[in-house]
Amino acid sequence: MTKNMRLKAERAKWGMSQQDLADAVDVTRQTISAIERGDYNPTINLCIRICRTLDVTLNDLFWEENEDEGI
Amino acid sequence: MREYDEYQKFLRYKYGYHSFVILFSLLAINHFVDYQWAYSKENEIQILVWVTSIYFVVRLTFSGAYFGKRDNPLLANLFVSVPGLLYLSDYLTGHSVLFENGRLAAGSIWFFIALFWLSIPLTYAIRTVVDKLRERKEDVRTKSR
Repeated sequence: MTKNMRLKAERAKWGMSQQDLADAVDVTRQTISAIERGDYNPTINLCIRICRTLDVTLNDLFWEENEDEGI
Repeated sequence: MREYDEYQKFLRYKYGYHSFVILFSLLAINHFVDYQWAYSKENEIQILVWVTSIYFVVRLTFSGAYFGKRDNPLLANLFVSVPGLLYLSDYLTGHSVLFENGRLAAGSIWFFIALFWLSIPLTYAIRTVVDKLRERKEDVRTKSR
């Protein structure tokens, strides 16, 4: 899985640490770290909670553009 | 009842499955190996179960899936250190022996139980140090941009 740098960037934009974001969405810091490293794909519910906290859309954080696919 | 988040549950299932496979493999190997390395066959099975349990708690503690979201790890570590140190002190003071006639003694199971309890705070301490070093590295990288 690829790293989720957009999540990290968005979190940094708000000046939040991984612990701050984890507390806001009611998970552990290790969970946020795993998502950012690309080691874990969160459930849709967690994705929504993260997006609401960072005030972005699901597309902004979790959509992966694949140049080979034509949608 | 401890609350675990979804990633913690995922890790617990994953390492639980690994532990099951490891235990099953160890028991199977032990069954076919014609060498008695502990006081009795039952003793060997008990030790293998505890060794696998140690693997399970070490993996969980290192990956942050042992303690729940609302647990106080420091208090919990203090709590589990007490029986661990008590059981280990028996061996350190010479009241109990680990080996007898070239095999693990009948009472050696308490040594593995001590290791089980002590592995949690030890692993947690190592993990905390690793996390702090990683955070410091991250801070230096962020400030240098």
